[in-house]
Amino acid sequence: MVFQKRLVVFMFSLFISHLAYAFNEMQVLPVQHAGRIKPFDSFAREQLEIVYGKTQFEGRSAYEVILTWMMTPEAWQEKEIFQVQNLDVKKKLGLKSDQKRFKGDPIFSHEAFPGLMAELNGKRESKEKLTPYFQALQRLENQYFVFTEIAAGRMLKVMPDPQSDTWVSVADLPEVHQSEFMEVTKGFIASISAEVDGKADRKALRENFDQAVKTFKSSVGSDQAVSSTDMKIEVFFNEFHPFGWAALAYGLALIFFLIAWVMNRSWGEKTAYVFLISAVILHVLGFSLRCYLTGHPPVTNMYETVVWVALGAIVFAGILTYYMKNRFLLLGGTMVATFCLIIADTAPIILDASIQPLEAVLRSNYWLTIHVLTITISYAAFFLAMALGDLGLFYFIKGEAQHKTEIKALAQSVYRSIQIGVAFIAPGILLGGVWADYSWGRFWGWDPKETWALIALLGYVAVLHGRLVGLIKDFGMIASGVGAFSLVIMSWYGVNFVLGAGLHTYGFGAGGIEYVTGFVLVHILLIVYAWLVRRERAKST
Amino acid sequence: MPVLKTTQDKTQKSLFRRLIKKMASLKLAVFTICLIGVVSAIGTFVEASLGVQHAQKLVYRSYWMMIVMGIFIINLTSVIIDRWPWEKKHSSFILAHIGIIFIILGQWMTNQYGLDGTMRIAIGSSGQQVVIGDTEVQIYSSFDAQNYTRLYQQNVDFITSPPTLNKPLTFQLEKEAFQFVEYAPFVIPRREIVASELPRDGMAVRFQLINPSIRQAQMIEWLYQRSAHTSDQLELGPLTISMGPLKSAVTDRNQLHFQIQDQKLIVTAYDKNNPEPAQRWKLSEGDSVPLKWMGFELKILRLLPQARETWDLTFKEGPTELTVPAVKILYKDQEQWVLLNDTLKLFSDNAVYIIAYSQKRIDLSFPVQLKNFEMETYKGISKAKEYKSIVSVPDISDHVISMNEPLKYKGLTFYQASFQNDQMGKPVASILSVNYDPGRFLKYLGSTVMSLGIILLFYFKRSSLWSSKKD
Repeated sequence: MVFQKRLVVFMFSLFISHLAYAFNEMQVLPVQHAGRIKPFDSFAREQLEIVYGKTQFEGRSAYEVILTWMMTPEAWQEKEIFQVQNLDVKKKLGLKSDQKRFKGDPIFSHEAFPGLMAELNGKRESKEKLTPYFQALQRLENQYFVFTEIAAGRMLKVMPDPQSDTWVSVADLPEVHQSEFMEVTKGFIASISAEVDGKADRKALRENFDQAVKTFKSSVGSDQAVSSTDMKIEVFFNEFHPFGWAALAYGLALIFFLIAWVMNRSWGEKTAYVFLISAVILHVLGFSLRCYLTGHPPVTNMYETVVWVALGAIVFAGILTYYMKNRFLLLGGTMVATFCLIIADTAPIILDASIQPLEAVLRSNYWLTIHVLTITISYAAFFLAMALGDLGLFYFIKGEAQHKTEIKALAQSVYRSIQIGVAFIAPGILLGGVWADYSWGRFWGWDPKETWALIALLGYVAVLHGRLVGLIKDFGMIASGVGAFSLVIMSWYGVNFVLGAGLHTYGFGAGGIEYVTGFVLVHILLIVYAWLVRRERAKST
Repeated sequence: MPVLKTTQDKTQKSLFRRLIKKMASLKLAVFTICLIGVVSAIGTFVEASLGVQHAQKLVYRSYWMMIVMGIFIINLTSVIIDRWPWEKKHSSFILAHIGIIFIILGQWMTNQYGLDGTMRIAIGSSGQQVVIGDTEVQIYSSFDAQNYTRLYQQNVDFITSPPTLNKPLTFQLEKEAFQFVEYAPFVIPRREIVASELPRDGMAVRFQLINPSIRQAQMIEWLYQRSAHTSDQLELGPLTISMGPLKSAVTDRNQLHFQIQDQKLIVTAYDKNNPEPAQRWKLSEGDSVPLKWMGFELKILRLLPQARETWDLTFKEGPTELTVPAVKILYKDQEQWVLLNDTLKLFSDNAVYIIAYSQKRIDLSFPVQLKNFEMETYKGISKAKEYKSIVSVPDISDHVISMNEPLKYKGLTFYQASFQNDQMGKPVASILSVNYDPGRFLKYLGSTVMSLGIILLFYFKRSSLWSSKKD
């Protein structure tokens, strides 16, 4: 127990140390971008992500990188900062296919580049859906735009304009403020070079830099336009990155659950609980912060739903554990949560974590909460059923006869999870109908998103009824828990990313099809394999 | 006799019972549920590749979908009857299944008797007609090209039954007949003017106006005369260019008038407010002359004494924002395409026929006036944050329709669906969706009953629900 106690103290102090994080004034400078007032830190992260694919560059913070883009764009010519992933695009631009990032010049000065952009414009004018190739071209165009506009100072809008809704960019600042901004950049250069060289006066120089930013802020009046606490909270959210820590804690919990499961040690389970509880606290904290920052329940895009489903799976696993006293549930829940949060963090281009303004139709917290939260929480229960089903298949492959109790418990857990899922998705669909009736004027219109939610519901209802007639027994239940989740994946991801049709256009995105298809295929193969193993065994006995 | 009757009654009853038992089979239920799922899934793929209309017509509202749903309803009803006499413990199960039946019937009523259309109203004007998804063909005839009478009105559904050369849709006119012979659901049309041999066709001129000193100031236009007797004109900034019989030489604008004589173009220039021609030229293709106004030069690119308008069509596999449906007409061995919501003129020896292929319109019997349309964007970008229409109907004035806030009037519901911008991005019209849904009550009742059933299900099972031993 001593170890666990120490662990709690350690985790807590780690958390506190992050709370005490000292913000750089530059990071919390309010800027207007993409319909939001956000701290410079968020802006810098988003732009660096677009160009480079990460929110840090060789250990340097995004805000530092973006500032140097503005001050000395020519110094960046020799750096490989432009991420290009599409192989066709690489080929046409004569770029090495095994390299991920490139210098700007070989791309944008390549003789084929204007032709590619013309091709993209032609495709856009035809109003046809952009294929992955054209999406890659679009990203390239965007990368070029972002880099040149930041370098020219036109993209960074820092001064509120009383005459207009649009803020004034650095390039268009009146002369008085130009010189104040110059002070900011000077302060930044002095501070950063002192830091790099490890000079003794680096603390004073850093304070100078902060002071220059403060002077600029109050002079242009942007400190009046927005609450500085909100800016600080957002930078804290960026810097602390609670979901990342939660992913780590879930991962550790998963490892200890696995230790406890394989080696049957109780200390493993206890340690796992410490990590699990820390993970849930971090998860809930991150969730609350994001709610506060966006002002709506965070279920408006793919990224947010993935994070929400992770939490839901843990909550359901916890509730079911309380009633069913079955150790597989939390193992399964932790598997789902770890998987979801890792995905959410590692696929920034597909799962965009940045906070974007909402489509007009979604600007209703009431409906968002009751319809979208209910539907997505049912995904969590089905995901849990799938994870538990995976464990069940593992036992079937390992040996059915020796693991009868485990298989029974797992089949029962899958069954309960599916019941919970159905109990949420059915009212969720009905509520969706009510919302659709209320805002689009029809209760049911066979829109692909609603249709696939219905198909998922029908699939699970068929499983529940099949169980009643005896069509589905333990193996059937476990296999359905795994297999029927493909329907949820289609409804959750497929409609937006594969079909790309219908009225739920605000959630559309692109990319990742090969991974998702792989995920589904692996599970289907697992079911088939377990089935074959079972049949072989039945024959031999 | 009475004895005999009872036995007969008994066998009948048991036959009915047995039939119900069969129809109530859970295996049939599982099969039907899966079938509905598969059909719906196919529908979504049809929608992704061919669009909403095709998915609705070919899958969701098709006869075989109705048959599947019919089997499902019979199955659900039989299950409920099969449990007779009902006990208290059956209530959850019965309510849940009755709820589903109500929802399906409600949806069927909506499809059958409901109205689901859209209305585009320009800001400041009013509209009275709702456009729906169904299409129709109307044929008008005239002997003097002035007064038209309607010969035919027929509902057509080219998506489910497209006409072909072998199975055309034929309409009989005075002497000849004409036929619809091909349906193309996705074409991108481009107007094209081509030379014609027919003396009744008007002329067409393609010309260029250039100002050599200003690079941007140049335009290439067609001026096309719809028939040999009409006056047609084009307004280009402060200049009017006209063709055909000259309406009036005196206007408050400068005017160029085109007339074709012996393969040459006679161009007459009139200064504004002056009936006397200022200049006159006789030009051929390729000639250019300087105009007096603002240093512009006129260049004649193409001259067609007789021309007609036609469509240059690009055929696509699937829908985009630019595609429209089109249907091919065969008349006197001539093939012509007519687009949806467009018309085509056919000429016989002594009559003119107008073929109109269009979406059906339903008259509301009262006008809806769009007083204003307001759009609020997110600060600094053009993305819409909120938009609303301020409308007036006979009994209600200045009602605000916004996203999630419809107007209910005379059993109809008006929703804010979308809007249209001009080239500058300024909204010019609001698009409202107009609905009448007679199945709404049944669907809501069904939803409530079904939810009640689910809640009761948990209530009755709560004791055994969480124990894993018994089930």
